[in-house]
Amino acid sequence: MAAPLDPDAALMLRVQQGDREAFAELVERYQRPVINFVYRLIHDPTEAEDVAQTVFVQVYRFADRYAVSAKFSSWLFTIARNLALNEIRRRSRRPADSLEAPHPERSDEPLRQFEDRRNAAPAENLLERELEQKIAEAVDALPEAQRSAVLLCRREDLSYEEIASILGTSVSATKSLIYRGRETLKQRLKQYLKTGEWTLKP
Amino acid sequence: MNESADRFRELSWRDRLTAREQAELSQLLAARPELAAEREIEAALNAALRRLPDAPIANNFTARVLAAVEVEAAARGRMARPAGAAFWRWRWLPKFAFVAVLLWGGLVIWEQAREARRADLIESVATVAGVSAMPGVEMLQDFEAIQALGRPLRADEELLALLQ
Repeated sequence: MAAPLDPDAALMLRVQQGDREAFAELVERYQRPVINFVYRLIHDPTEAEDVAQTVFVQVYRFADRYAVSAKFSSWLFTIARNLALNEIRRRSRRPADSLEAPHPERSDEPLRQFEDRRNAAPAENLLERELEQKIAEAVDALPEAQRSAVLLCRREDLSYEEIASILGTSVSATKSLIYRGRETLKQRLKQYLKTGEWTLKP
Repeated sequence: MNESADRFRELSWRDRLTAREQAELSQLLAARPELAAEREIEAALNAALRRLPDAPIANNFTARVLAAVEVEAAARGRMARPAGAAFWRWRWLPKFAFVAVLLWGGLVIWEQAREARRADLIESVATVAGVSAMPGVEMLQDFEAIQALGRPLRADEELLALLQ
């Protein structure tokens, strides 16, 4: 009996037939991890969303190239990382657009509007937000390859072999990147990790 | 020893473990209790990483992606049609170019041959023009005798040798 098809691969088979609903389902399922991953690489929420949008457009455009035997998330994150790195290279050559840039059709509105979730958070979460900021800063300060490796390692659906494939390195090199990245993070966050701030919460 | 330490790290780095992996980790910790402190730090780091702030996502992200896919598909359709039409419209061009090159080549060769013929003719005319006057017909009557004057006299020398 044949092994049951991975749900993402099943959706991709439908996308290959031009099924937009299946594609929308994949976008819904992966938009947050992809945007977060790209955001951690390029540090700009606006650009991260644009890059993530391009990632999904590429997925649809090159759906025919997806082999069902490969894991979809691995293929998706490979595209996401490549496009994010392209964006980093592009931004190093040209200055980025401002988030305050006017909408092309409605000049009285900014280009994008994001929900301000900080306003919704209660005041007692201030300390927590500060701690989150510290960990974000520590992660952002890692070299790109280590950062990517550490972030991808958090995804339980990606094996070390798949992370290595996304990063274009060997498995041993990938483990070395994760090790060095985590060691750096432990050093930088030593005082917070010792207090058990994060371990006490679920 | 190192293998178990490596495996311990591989398991400790993962954010969520399956029941089997959890059991494996517990086994490793039971065998090597000195790793417990490291496990605590790794778990604390995992918890910290779980609290990384998410990037903001526009509410209409999926709709925007679908719209971008539509736009892209339409643009590709537009790009494909004119390219095909242009191909059929200009498909005669390579044949035309080939014939034009052949004609041009032929013309060049013909022109060169004509130039060569003209040069020969000019040379001939120049040679003829260099002769001041043709000899008279009377002179041609003694042509053979005059021509014989220039011949070597070897036959006579042989005859003299025999006579001697």
